[in-house]
Amino acid sequence: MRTRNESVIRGGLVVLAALTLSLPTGAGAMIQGSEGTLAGSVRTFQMSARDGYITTGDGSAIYMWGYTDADNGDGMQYPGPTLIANAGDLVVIELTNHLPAEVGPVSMVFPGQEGVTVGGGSPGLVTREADTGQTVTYTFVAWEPGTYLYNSGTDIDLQVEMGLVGALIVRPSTAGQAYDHPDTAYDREVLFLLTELDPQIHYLVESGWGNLVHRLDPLPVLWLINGRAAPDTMLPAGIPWLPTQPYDCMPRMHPGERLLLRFVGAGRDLHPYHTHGNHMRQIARDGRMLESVAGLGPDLGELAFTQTVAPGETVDAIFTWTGEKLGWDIYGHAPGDPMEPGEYGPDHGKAFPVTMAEEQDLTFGQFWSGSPFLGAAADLPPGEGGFNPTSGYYYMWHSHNEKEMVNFDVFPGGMMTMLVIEHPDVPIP
Amino acid sequence: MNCGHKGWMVAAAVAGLALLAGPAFAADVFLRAAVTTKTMPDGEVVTFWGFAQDSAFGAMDGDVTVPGPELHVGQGDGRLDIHLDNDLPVPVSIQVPGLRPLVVPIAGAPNLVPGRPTRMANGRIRSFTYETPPGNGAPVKYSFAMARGTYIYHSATHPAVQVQMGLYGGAVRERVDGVRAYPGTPTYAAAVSVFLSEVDPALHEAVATGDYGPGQAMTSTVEYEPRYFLVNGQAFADHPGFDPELAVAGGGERTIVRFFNASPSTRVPTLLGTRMTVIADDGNVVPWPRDQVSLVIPALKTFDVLVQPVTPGRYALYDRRLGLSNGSAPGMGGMLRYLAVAGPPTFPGQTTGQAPRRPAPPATLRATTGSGHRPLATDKLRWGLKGTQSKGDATATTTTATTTKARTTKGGGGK
Repeated sequence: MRTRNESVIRGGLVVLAALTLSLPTGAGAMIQGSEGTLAGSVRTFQMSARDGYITTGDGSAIYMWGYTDADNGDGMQYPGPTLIANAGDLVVIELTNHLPAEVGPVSMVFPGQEGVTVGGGSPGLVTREADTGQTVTYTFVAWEPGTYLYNSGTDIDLQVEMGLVGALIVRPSTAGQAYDHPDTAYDREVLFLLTELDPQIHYLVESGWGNLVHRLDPLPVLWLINGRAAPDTMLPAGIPWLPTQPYDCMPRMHPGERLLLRFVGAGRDLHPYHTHGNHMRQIARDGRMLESVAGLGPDLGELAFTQTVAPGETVDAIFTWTGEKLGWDIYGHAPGDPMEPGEYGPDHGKAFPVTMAEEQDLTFGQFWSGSPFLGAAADLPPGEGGFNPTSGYYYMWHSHNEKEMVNFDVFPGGMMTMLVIEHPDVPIP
Repeated sequence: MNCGHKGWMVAAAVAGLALLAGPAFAADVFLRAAVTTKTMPDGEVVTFWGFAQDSAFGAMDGDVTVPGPELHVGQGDGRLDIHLDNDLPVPVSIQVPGLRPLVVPIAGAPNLVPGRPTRMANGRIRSFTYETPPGNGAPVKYSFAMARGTYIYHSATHPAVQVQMGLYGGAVRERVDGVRAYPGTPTYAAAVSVFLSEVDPALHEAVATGDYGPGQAMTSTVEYEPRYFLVNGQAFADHPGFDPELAVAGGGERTIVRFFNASPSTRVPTLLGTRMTVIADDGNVVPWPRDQVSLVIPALKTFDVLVQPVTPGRYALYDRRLGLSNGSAPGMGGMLRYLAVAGPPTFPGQTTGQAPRRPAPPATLRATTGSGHRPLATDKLRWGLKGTQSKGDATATTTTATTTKARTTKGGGGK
């Protein structure tokens, strides 16, 4: 039962004002990225490699090299644009090298794609490359839906560290599915492109001392998801004061929804990504369903609450949450109250199992709304709370390599974000 | 099955197993541990400890290599017997993770018992098994029940130092026809080995100059700093004298690529232009083929994968953990190679205008029979996926009985 002074949010109007202050508004249910220019079944991306700076959660400005696409003008971005294509598209990527001349050539490789043809540029060690000012064109048919990585094929250990990485998503013919099977359907999707950063390398390159870079001894002290270090991961996508870091990582969902997690290992280290709140079900690796026999769907995927994401590897997983197994009604319903969408039926009407202590006997976290019930707020002492205007449930999602949850040794930071379970009446754009 | 005789059947089955475990033939290999050197691409000369395969003990006619010689054991050989000659200044030994070590009887002397390490004078141990002393006059035998698969042999003495110094190599047992690695797996037209290792030259220098150990310049391997990253004993070097290609079959035919990792770190070889299908892990067939781009290979693991490229050219294979430099030398190096399909040395389809081809589907495997490996039961029925329900577990195959009830009669094992 609800205690006194709680108000349950009904309708979105009350909430929207609060939303604009601190929650992402542009993220949407689908991953943002670049869809290029489509003519028939030929999808062309005009891309550049440029240099620029990113900002990290401790206030550092780090010199980076990054890919960008035509929409970005002269700016770079980190990570590179998430390229989005449909299965069967002939993908054409024209890459022009706008990096400073002293960098030398740059290129792109597409692990997982077969039959990549390359034109223009000059021969490099693993692909053709664009020298300063040159353009090289990569062409392939994106036969199979899935989540893929791209990165530079030139001077790979330095150029990957400097930021020349990005994701490629190929969508199947059926919308709302990750692969060609209904068991891979999802309501929302989130990208987790994981990297680490050794600022010393970037300072040396920025200062023109790139030949002193210790490529074999990187010491990362910053860890990033989609190019941002926490708490910036939780800022909205496209926020003006992070112009070179356009992507966010702030998963929000309603109970009962299916959230597709697309993990991309874009750095050089393995990261054990941990989802508080529930297990996730793996459905694919390296762009292929974990399927025993064709047609069965991802029957080989395991439940995991920590997913190892290795460099060069992509993993897809589906996360769901209903409050199952908590053992109490998350809305504080009486048994006769109507069910909410996505509610776990067997716990409907079950009483909250403890008597809450009085406020004077409690200490509060910033995400505590004053009430244990989803979507409900209650009295808080002055100055407490405030980080949870929609009264959702917050679960920390993070690299379980604990030292990676810092910015230069300061916690919280690094490879960390929050999943928010929102009341069904809270609009998630 | 006559349940009344159950106890007798079990006892006889055990006796039968013990008999079957005594193999008819053994592969005899004469290995010699000795010092050697390699020149790294940046010119640094590094001292290694490697293995040579001699024609007989004391023949000294093999080349000392790092990694050591890849031992191929034939289909008919149930046992691998390594006769070790130690030309190093310290004791060494041999172990092969994944193979069952066997007691070696010695006429007129105590048996050599694997897992019973030789003790040092102060009572401490530095080996996982019995040692071969430096300069031994007679070979010391290490005997293993050879199973089908891909394995790494390495020194079991002071392994933190000796494995890094280079005392490792591959051992493979396959079917006699050489075209199929495991029962039920697809045939292949070519075979390639990718043996990964790393070098911390500071350790090699300290060991070579006798400056490793308590009170010496280097007292432990804790501050490990690899500077060179090797594939099959060589780092990639972009100069004419170095052949970076590993020849594989083309035209859609399969090649088995055997990966070994003797470095202390996890490495992630990644393929460009084609994909790989994992068929075995540490010599065990995986229940379902795994279609992957990158292979996460931790220290001392082996994997068998199949590749099936079509067009001629080079398919780059590089370490995505970025062991891609040679010390302080400029340019790419380290763990980079090309799986090469004979034809013009260009990247597949390098000229534009070639119509992309739909790639062949990945190699498929039947569920294996008789190997004792079954897919693990999954809880997919309880998962409650949206859309069509999974159709249930694939039919588990029944392994044929491998035990015998008695020495002369063969009864049906339990079903």
